Amino acid sequence: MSFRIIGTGSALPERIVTNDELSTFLDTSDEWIRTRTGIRERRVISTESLDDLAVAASQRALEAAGIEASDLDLIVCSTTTSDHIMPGQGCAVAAQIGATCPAFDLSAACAGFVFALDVADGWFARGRAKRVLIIAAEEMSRLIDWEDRATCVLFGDGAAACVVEAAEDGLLAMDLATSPDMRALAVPGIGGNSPFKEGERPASVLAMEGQRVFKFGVTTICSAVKRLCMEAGIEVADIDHFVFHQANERILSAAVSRLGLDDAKVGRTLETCGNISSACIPLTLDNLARSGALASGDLVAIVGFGAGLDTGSCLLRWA
Amino acid sequence: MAESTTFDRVCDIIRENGGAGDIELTLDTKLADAGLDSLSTVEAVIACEDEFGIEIETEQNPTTVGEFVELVDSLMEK
Repeated sequence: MSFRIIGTGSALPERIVTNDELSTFLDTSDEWIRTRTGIRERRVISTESLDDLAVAASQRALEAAGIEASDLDLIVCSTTTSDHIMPGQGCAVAAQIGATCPAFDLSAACAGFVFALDVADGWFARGRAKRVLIIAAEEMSRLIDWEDRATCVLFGDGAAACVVEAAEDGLLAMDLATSPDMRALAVPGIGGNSPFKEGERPASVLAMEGQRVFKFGVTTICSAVKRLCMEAGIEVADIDHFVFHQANERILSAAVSRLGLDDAKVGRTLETCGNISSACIPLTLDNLARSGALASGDLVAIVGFGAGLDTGSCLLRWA
Repeated sequence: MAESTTFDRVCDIIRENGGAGDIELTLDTKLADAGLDSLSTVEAVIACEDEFGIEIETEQNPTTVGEFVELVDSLMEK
């Protein structure tokens, strides 16, 4: 079985937070952040909710695909920062767009979108679905320690979605992997107030071993692209677009130079959106699709990587 | 002899990754003084892995040129 992405959509918060604004309450500067991350500004949720963004992105994807919510057979939402512990973010979207198909969330951090694509592919293979809505919605601003200048400058909020349809071809290769590491990038779960629970209850705040994640990012992008090419029997130069998780410009540029890629083929949303975890990849895809950069038949290599340490990569032929 | 070769190659990599514009690199030079910040250090480590065909754990990240050379040599012997 295989699938094609037939529609994409995205939605970002209204509020723009520039590096200069961050430097009004953190000991940092626009120059420091830019040279170390490539990020100039990010969008941060203020008045809207993550539900609002997820629903808006989904509606745009449905519109681009030319289908109705009632045509969907499954909704999978990748998120680690949902508005709700339960029901799932996917259920909140279903309620607001008027879908009655199964809906659930998936937690694979920054690689979540690719993991969701693989779930959809499995439903197609088992004949359980013909059309799946995949959403990636993240409110990283609620997990960040806004007093930690090493991490809070990196992240942003936003949502992106795509409609995926079962097809005879379109998926050339798919790989998911986990290299278990509970410390490199982590957010502790809810502490609660159970009177029976003993021991510490760490706050649900993001902590990251920057060097470890940086190296994992560079080496993962390179090995994943090579493996996709080997599985599909093509050369790296045959790929028309590279859509990598947007964690840091220096990860992207190191991977570009190590793989010898044409930089113009590498999609980027990092400079204006920062790292929106699993929403980065579908957001970049949506920007490319709406700008007309993705032609029918183009080969698109996607690599997501993040906490876990999870990696999800796939090679698609654009519909 | 092998050590001096490793030293030269490691110094080349440090320079290529943005460090040591004008200063002379010695075994005692701190990577930070050579202009490598934490990310540049990782970039140099990755470049060394490619150059020497070795794998360096992040926990082993060197802080001086001498540690860098020693680390590369010790992994090359394995």
